Amino acid sequence: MSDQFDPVDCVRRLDPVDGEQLATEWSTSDAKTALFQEITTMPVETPSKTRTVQRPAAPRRAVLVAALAIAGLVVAVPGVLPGPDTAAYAVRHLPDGLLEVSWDGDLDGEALAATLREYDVDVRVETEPVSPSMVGQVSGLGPLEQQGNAVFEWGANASETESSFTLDPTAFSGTFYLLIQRAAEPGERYAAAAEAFTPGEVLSGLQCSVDLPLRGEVLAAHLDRLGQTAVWNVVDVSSSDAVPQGEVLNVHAIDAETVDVMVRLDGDTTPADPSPYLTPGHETHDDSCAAAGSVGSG
Amino acid sequence: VDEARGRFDEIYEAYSGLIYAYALRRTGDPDVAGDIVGETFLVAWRKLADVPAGEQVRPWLYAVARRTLSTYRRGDQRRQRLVHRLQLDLPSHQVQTPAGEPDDRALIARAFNALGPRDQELLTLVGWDGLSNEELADTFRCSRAVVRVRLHRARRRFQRELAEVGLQRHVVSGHEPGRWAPAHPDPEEA
Repeated sequence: MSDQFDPVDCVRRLDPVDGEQLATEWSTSDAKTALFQEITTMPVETPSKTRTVQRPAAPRRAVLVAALAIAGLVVAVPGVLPGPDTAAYAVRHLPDGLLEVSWDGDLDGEALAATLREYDVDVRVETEPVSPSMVGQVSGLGPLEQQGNAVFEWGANASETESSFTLDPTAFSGTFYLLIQRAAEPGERYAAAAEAFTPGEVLSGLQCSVDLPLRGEVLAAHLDRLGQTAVWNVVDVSSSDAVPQGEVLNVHAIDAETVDVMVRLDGDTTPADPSPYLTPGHETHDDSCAAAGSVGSG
Repeated sequence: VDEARGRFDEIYEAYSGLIYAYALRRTGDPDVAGDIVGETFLVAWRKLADVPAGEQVRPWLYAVARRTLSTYRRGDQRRQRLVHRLQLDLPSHQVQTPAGEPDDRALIARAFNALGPRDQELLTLVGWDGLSNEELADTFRCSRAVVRVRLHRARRRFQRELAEVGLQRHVVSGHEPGRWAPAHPDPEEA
């Protein structure tokens, strides 16, 4: 028996279609031409200057951001990550009948859903599993179908924590989508995760009780003690299960029992973006280091 | 309009065959595959200003085709049935297993079918459609790191299933008793 079957090669062997022959026949088919002609008789949308696909840059500690696959209209919400406790939620009625919803800090998804339902807006709430410190936050919202800028529009002055949108509840006829982050079930993979050194996460406080820069072999020992499985990702090299010789740059949880570790190999001078938690001066992260006794010592 | 049509023509010429193959592989029905091509490129035509340039066109189209396929699988009837309306004759070159020849494809298929739909989708986008990690990240709108980890895990799970059907050596790692690990060749057993 062969020792190794490459998984991707095996998948290729299951390919139900002869791609080359199909491409040849498609390229000369009447169907291809007919479809093209039919499609290009349709009207083209005028580009809008306020498309809702603006996606604010995520803070560095949120490398694992969930995919939002709702017709390209639902966007990541600013301020979805652990931040200052400045949550404020406000609904304002503008003179032209528009509803303005604004918030500072974490958006209260239930409150927003209740507000919209008051105006008979069809709201669909979905949830996704996330790492512990992100539970309860809203990671995406917006109309499921494009309805024109007069109906739904993002506020122009969004920041990392503040955001707003306006909605014309009388003109809105589709479904409003809300994606709320929830705790993962046992064994369930996170759709999004904050950095593992963030307060509330699996390695919170560890950085306060180890020498920095944190070495891969040191982290490996701690992970073993914590019962965590590691998927090691060496910068620009594919994943493996072997502990690499190098500096740990950042760590994210994949699920409750597994963390993804990014390592820069010894001697590699590739510029990289290390975790803000793994730099000298970490003592300023008071909340994070408070848990050092429970995680870092041992 | 001519400029838009010219750009759309280039995109359609370069990628419609790939999207048709993508859809045919997953539906097995040329008519449905044609509908998915029609709707995918209808979105591209209508939102031509939003279609990215260069190498990002392909994952953008795959993302649209993926959503269209998902809508089809949900039985949503709001789709525009271009193919049925136009009554097109669509090509289909499906691979046939030679009769009577020993073929471990059945075993591979059994292992593959034991995977979850997410793993299957990732592996087929790589194996059948040839998408790179970067293109997968753009298609799924997630980071490359996420794609790398998911793909790594999908491969591992597939290797485990291949071992279950007897097509892969089953090696258990030392520090995780009882858990499956990637099948590294063992010099002592070789």
